[in-house]
Amino acid sequence: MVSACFISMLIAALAGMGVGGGGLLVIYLTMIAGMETGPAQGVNLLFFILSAVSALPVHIFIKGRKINYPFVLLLTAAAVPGAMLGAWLAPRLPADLARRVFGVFLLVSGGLSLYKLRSSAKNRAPRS
Amino acid sequence: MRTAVRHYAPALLILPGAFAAGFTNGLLGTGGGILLLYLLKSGVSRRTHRTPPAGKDAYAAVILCVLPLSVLSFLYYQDGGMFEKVPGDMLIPCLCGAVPGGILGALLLDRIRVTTAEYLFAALVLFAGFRMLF
Repeated sequence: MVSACFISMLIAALAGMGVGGGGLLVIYLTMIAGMETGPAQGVNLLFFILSAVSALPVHIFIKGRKINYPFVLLLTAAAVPGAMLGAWLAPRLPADLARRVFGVFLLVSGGLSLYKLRSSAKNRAPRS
Repeated sequence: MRTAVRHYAPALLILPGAFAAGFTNGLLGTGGGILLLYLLKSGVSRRTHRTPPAGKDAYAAVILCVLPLSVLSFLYYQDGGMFEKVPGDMLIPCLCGAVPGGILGALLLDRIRVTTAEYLFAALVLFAGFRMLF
């Protein structure tokens, strides 16, 4: 129980730093704790809600991040129908298919992260 | 009329991307954030907005955007009976680190260079992706 608590804190901290902890909890729950992909995704949603609610006041009131609220509202308004469709579909997917879809997402996400890291490393490199 | 179309057309380009991010977040319970982050930093975003959120401001904007999507998705998951399959002894330990971890991450964002952690994260995610597929 203590180890799960510590791991969840570490993942929330990584997510708060923008390393992308979102998928890590699902990976931990499915590959180590032996949970099915769908329920693990549900736990991950609840986990994100709690960590986001605690991180946002720090970002906005303590760190004074500049947020363009009309722009965020526009993005959210466009994303809501997609979220409703995806979340309606999720419990209806067979467990094996859900696992494979999540696997594809992880490969794409990992590939994009590596690409982003390589691009920023190239930009930082001194030009001769 | 033509001026109005020219002014608002780039804003319309960003909407399908945001829809896809919402769909991913709903379907997989994660992933909306990374897609929105790419969208915010993309050329489309630059054309839509003169000053798209940059760097750490973008992370805060993404969290703010994904929060309502996650609440909505969570309600659908609960309605679909997904939480009935979650072992009770796993839920509390998994959630108890979320609040202190979230605060810690937001505070540390300015102080820690996360490149090594990002490489490790990418490697772990790729490994887990292969394991889930094969």
